[in-house]
Amino acid sequence: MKPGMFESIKDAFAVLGQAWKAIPEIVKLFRPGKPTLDRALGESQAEKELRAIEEQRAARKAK
Amino acid sequence: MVLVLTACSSSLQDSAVRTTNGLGLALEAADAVFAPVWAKALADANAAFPDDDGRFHQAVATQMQIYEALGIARDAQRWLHLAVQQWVAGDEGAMWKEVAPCAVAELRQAEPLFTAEQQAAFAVLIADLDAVAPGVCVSHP
Repeated sequence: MKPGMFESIKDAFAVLGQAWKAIPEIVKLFRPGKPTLDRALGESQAEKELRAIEEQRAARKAK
Repeated sequence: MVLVLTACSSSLQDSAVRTTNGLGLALEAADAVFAPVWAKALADANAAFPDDDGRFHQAVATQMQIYEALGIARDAQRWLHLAVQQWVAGDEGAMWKEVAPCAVAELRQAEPLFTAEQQAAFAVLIADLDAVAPGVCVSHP
């Protein structure tokens, strides 16, 4: 995957669209019968990255 | 009559559970692809502008738009998850009735971000949720 792939929102959601298309088939393979609800989404990796940088910048300012 | 209603409700619940799980997995997949690109953009901007918040945010503005769009979609999924969880648990009380319209409102806000296929799936789900718990999202509980 090229680094510049996420240069626009459209590109990002095109990837999301591809992932979306594949998921129902994968779910069917592994979960026949009545579905059960997955765990709720936690903090995303992107959110963790931003929090880490913000904390780093705040610590630098505090010095 | 009761059996028919129970069967219909169960089918709607299964559809809601599958859609909620599918959206969750899709968002996790998108995060897994986006996060390394995002981390590099943040690190580069941080190194270039360690003490200038304005220029730092300007440098990551495009990536920030994607970050925020994914955040809106994740919020919608979280509300949807809470609503479906209440529904599956058999909560016919106030909590489910309040949460379901809020999940629908969040989904509608995120809807323009989705592809045509996703929007079609959400239209079905929103209709299901509206049928089971009609109402307006007054405030998030």
